[in-house]
Amino acid sequence: MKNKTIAILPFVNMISNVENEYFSDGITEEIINVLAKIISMKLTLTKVSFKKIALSFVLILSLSSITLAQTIVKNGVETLDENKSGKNEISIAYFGETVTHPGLTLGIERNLWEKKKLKLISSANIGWYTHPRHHCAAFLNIEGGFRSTTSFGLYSDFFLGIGYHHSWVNGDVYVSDGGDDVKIIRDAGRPHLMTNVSFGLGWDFSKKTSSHTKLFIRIKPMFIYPVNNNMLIQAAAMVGVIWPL
Amino acid sequence: MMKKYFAPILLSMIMIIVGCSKDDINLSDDLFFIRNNGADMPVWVRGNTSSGVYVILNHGGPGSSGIFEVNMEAQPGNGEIDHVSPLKILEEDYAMVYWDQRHSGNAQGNANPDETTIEDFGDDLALLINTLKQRHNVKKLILIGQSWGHTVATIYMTFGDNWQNRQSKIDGYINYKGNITYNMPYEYAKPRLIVIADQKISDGDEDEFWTNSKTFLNENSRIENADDAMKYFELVDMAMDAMISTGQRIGTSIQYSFFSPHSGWYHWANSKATGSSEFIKNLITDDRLIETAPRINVPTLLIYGRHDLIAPFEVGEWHVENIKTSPNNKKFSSRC
Repeated sequence: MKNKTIAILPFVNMISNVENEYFSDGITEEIINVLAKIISMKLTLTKVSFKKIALSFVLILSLSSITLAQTIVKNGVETLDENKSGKNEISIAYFGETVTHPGLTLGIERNLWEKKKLKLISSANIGWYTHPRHHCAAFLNIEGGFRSTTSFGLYSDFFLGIGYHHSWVNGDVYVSDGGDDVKIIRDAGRPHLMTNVSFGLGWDFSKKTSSHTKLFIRIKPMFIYPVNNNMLIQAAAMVGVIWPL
Repeated sequence: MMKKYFAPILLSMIMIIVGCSKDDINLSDDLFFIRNNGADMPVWVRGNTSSGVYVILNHGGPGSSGIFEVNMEAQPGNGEIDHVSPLKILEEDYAMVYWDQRHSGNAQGNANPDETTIEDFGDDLALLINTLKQRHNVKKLILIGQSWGHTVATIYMTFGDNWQNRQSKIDGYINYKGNITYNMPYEYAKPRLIVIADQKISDGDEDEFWTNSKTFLNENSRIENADDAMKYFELVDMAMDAMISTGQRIGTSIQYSFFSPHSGWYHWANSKATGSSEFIKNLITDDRLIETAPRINVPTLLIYGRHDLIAPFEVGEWHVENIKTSPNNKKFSSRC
């Protein structure tokens, strides 16, 4: 870190409601605080409890997601009435680490606010994926985030999410049946809290054609807790399409 | 509208059915899980199952992975990550059984590493052996205990009330560079590490590191905590010049995540969780197995490296002198 500086640019409240100014200020302050703590550790991360860092990260993500959801709920209806931009869309996407670990998500997106090139979007998603011979999982989550679209249709988006994740081992499960006997059991799976971020690029065909279809690719790091009483970090790649509902 | 979404919904249903279906038992490549006290541990049986001879690998660590070592020797003597595991060669003649211990490698579930006891590892191995005997036609069963895996094998064979029954279920044992405490290898390696430190200092090679290391060695007759253990391992890595970079390990782990039951995500998370756990902190000063290891009474092959400083050959000699196995049934090799 010698001779290197990190600049934290403030988040701007782009919603007309000034009551929510605290939210953008809060995110900025939180990032500064977290980075300051990390840097003060002098990057001796191997000596720092990984669990504490991971839990802090989840806490920040969770609070951010909840606060964002609150903001959406409070402002969504009135802004929709003002600019008529609110509409529901359905998304379907391949969801997996690679082609060898396939999965699928289905989601409903709703535009909550729109100004020039920027949109505030909320979504609810269900998904499933498998790592053959390791585990498979299903999840249900909500996300909130922003999408910025160019005049010719290319867009980028960023989402924060929180939800429920349930995983099953991918094979027969044996337990002791007392003494030396064993038996196969039906795996009911394990419950987890799932938070995630998502970074995407896409193409909005409505900008240049009459089609309202959008195509996108996303990278979605997920933070799953608890796995062996710790945070499991996974990432999935998404390739999908969005249609108006 | 239904027509529009019919294809994607049908596709998703097919993927769910195919992806989560149970494996058919293919005796040359069988994967299943054992569940005990919060842990879901994968077991992978590969190789010549028709031989009836099953060889279980207890991987090292704590926190490493037997599933990973199917494809790769995690700590090869030549320091190269592309070194193919010698275990694969054994698959031609025997059924090799690779498993990942609780909160290690690809193990799932929610076993809290802070609350784990060494007894849990013995119980897990007992469950594995009982399951293997029920699921496969096992005529002979051999255990391999590699490094920390020897600790697990020793817990199984000598610890608790049921050790005699447990030992009767195995036909032979291979102690492959195994340890049963942190301090026994440290005490044997220390004189040689001091000699190496003196040599490095006189050569002007990493002078400050070796001067500090020599001070550490002279001031610490025992390893008492995690910092001491980390210092010892760092010293040994430098002295043996056999380090594999973390980047290389992660890269290889990701590579094997694509087409095998291995998951780099779990491997990494479990390694971190185990390494920083209360279990490890307690283990460092736990010398109880010194009292029970002499109960080992099965035919035993001991393989140690002459220049190994993590599992010095003197540890092997201690076992040869102390375990109950008759002289005709134990063989010691420390020439490599």
